[in-house]
Amino acid sequence: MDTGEDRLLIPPPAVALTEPPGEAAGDPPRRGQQQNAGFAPWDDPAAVPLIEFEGVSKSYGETLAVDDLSLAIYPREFFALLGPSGCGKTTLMRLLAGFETPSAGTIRLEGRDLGAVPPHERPINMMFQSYALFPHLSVWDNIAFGLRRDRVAKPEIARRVDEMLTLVQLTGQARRKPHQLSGGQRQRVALARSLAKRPRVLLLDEPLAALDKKLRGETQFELMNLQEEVGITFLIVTHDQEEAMVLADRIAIMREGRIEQVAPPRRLYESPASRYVADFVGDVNLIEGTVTESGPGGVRVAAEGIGATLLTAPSDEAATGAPGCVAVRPEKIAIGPAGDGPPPAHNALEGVIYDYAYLGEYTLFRVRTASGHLIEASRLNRSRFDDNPLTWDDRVVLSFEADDAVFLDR
Amino acid sequence: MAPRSPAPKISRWRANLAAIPPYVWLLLFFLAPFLIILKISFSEAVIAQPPYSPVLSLSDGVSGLWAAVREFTFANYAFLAEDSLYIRAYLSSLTIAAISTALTLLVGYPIALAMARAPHGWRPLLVALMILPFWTSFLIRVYAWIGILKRDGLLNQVLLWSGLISEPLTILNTNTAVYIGIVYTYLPFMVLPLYAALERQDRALLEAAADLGSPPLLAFWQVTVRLSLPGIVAGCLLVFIPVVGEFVIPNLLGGSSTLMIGQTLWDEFFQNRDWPLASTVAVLLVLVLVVPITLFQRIQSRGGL
Amino acid sequence: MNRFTPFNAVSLTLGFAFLYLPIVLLVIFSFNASQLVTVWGGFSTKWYAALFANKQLLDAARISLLVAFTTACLATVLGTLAAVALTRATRLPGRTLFTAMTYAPLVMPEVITGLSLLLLFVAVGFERGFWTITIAHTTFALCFVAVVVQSRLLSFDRSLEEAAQDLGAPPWRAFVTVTIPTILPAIAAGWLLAFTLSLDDLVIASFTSGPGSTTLPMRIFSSVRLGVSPDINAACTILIAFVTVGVMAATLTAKLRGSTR
Repeated sequence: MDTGEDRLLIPPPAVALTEPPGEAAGDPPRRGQQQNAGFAPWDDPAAVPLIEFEGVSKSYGETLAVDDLSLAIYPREFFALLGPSGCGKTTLMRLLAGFETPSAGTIRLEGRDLGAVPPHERPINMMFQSYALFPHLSVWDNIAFGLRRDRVAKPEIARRVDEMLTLVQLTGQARRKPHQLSGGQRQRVALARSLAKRPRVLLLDEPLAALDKKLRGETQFELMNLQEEVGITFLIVTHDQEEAMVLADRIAIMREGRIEQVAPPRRLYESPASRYVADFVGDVNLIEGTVTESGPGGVRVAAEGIGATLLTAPSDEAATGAPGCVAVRPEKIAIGPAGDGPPPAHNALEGVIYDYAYLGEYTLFRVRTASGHLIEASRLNRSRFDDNPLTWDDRVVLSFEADDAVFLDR
Repeated sequence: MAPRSPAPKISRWRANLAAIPPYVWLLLFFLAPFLIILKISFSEAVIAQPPYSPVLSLSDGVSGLWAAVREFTFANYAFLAEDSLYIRAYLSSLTIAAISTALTLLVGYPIALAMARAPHGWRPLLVALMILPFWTSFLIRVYAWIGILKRDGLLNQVLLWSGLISEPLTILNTNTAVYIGIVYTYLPFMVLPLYAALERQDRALLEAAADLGSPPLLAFWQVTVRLSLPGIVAGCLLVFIPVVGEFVIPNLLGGSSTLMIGQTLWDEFFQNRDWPLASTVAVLLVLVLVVPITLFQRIQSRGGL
Repeated sequence: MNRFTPFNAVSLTLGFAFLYLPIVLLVIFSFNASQLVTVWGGFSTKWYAALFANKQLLDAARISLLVAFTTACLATVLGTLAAVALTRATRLPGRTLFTAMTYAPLVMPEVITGLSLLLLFVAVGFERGFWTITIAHTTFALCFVAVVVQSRLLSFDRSLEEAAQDLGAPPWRAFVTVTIPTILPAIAAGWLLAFTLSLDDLVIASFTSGPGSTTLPMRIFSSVRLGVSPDINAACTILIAFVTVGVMAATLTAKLRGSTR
């Protein structure tokens, strides 16, 4: 999906912005846009959503688990609900499955109000976090369970179950009971069972949480291919951002029952809508300041705390005089020894290395500025040897391009 | 995860429906008899069938009920209060129950502890062995002790043969035999809750106590015993409450000096055919047991046991 | 000190010896040729022959088994329903009363349960006999079933039921096809428990039985009061064998069904 990895391979040069801002006038932010150009119904005003949440709320006594939430999910989409525990993502999924009834608002599937439809009549199937495999039934009978409820003819059931077993590569395990299977196999049975009825939507509640890390990585890609193969809309709930980014076409970041931002992974990471999103997805440096100038060339922010003026990509939300913050990811910040060549013209911060950690693929530095702020910068370890070792208490210069920083007002 | 929601309305409604048959059954055959026993305890004994007066008849309606209430008499309660036999029977029942509960705890604790410390693989078998006697008849288990405890019984034979005693001991038909019988039949009720409490304990706790300087016995007292307290309470209640009203054990193993209220009630009913007095004895017995039973229910509904 | 010490081994040995020795002795002496219960007079099965000639005892056994079977079935149905209500009906009207009534008979002295039920039967003019014993037994046995099934239901993963609904089963269907099979071992255990409790009961049966419905424990009790006799030993041995075989069969089937949990 993402073809921009090559950028990561080039170590960000520790050079200044040579062009003054304003050059790129009228240009949208360079990156973080238009990926996956083939499939983007959410950008198409003519596209008809498959699932619509409209002003949906769900409260348990005093607590609001879902708070006046609206959302549209399109056919064939792989959609992820991402958020910390207690943010309402599971409740949202259970509302869609019918295990909870909304306190307010409507949920529609293909334009039909689901309000009065009980769970067993919704063309939606769910893969449970615990898998919820029926312990007294064999793998085969587990998969056939839903088909039998639909009174599908016997030969057809057999055909569909076998098809599902082939799909998840469990043909040899059909007669086994769930407790005789490995964790990964159980996960695949659960998947096959929920897919057997060919639902309009498949809900996956933390589908990979019970698997160990290595298996999870492999399964993620299997799941992705499977979704393409069956062409069913998938809605996944997860707290693992990597999982969401690997799998999903679009991700909704949830917080306290509301959606903070809905966007494809790349836009989410590169153009977060709020501090919360920027901080939740990946690592970020947030530098507080006040807007002194805003235009098509970018936003100039006086970061009083840190004692510097910073320049970011243009933003519609930035009004002169307004408070806000500059968000810049550690890997977008170049780090180099101080006094090495001419200092960068913009977005340069000086400091000393307070801490650093070698993490294999990259090294993470925590640099302490004169104001006492800690800024994180990372450097990719492209060579097996460190030609330019930086260590504790070294004086360094940090710099980043204006386009690589975002202004956030909330 | 989102806060686990209460069950959806529809399933709660269905569960209410499921409650109806047992609810009605218990109202009819547990609560109603209780009210009747209460009512009869205020009646007078007469030689008739049924042998009490006034007889409450459902056909008399509310007025009949009121008429009956006006005929209520506290004579039975007064009688119980005056006759020291009953008071002594209550006190003696409570004493015997308390002593035998303590004895059962004393015998049961080491067993439960050993079961909890036994290798993992053995534990299910040990639990099964502990429960198995419970499945065999209570009456038979009490009966088995008669053959052992009587004057020419096995225990005396063994003791005489070993030379420990020269005269056979009189055990059967004494309170000692009652204690043995109670400890024997109620042991599983004590051991199982204790085992459940002990088995849950993290073994590192004792090591931590030792590491922090507690000598083994003190650590055992401060950690193991302290943490098994809920099990001790549950086990003691499970033994104490039924033993207070126990009938079979004192009847078969106890002697003429063994005074227990269950036996008294039985005699009032079957021998003296004084139903109102038997009811009064029962009502007072329930009153005596209200506190421990409430305590037990508290523990039970918290999912204990 | 966490290890299995010699003290633990001794406690276990003595504890289980204490539990089993009386039963073992009883069984052994049922094969005693001597009339004297405490003197071994050689192996014999004559008491069993005598037992099977004792029509009174056999009649009592037949009644007991019939009562126990009926009780077990009734109590299992009612107890399972009660367990479902206890775990799921969180807003049941009068829930406190219901809970109290379900737990109280567990510890209620039998003399009280027996007496109160008898007084009820007399008050409504119900003729005493087979059905009064069965009703009385069902009343206390259903509580034991409820407790056993409830503990299984509490650990039951509700998402299994949701999964069944999600796959198209209406709630009642989900309960029958998924919940019941999953908790079946507990229901079976409850049935067995109810059966044994009923078979075992002396006190409540004594209060609620009528002429012609004397149960086995009542028979045994009246002969035991006259002293120990070898044919009672034989009767007890058969009962013990009965229960042992039953429990073992139940355990084995549970093992074979293999961890349906």
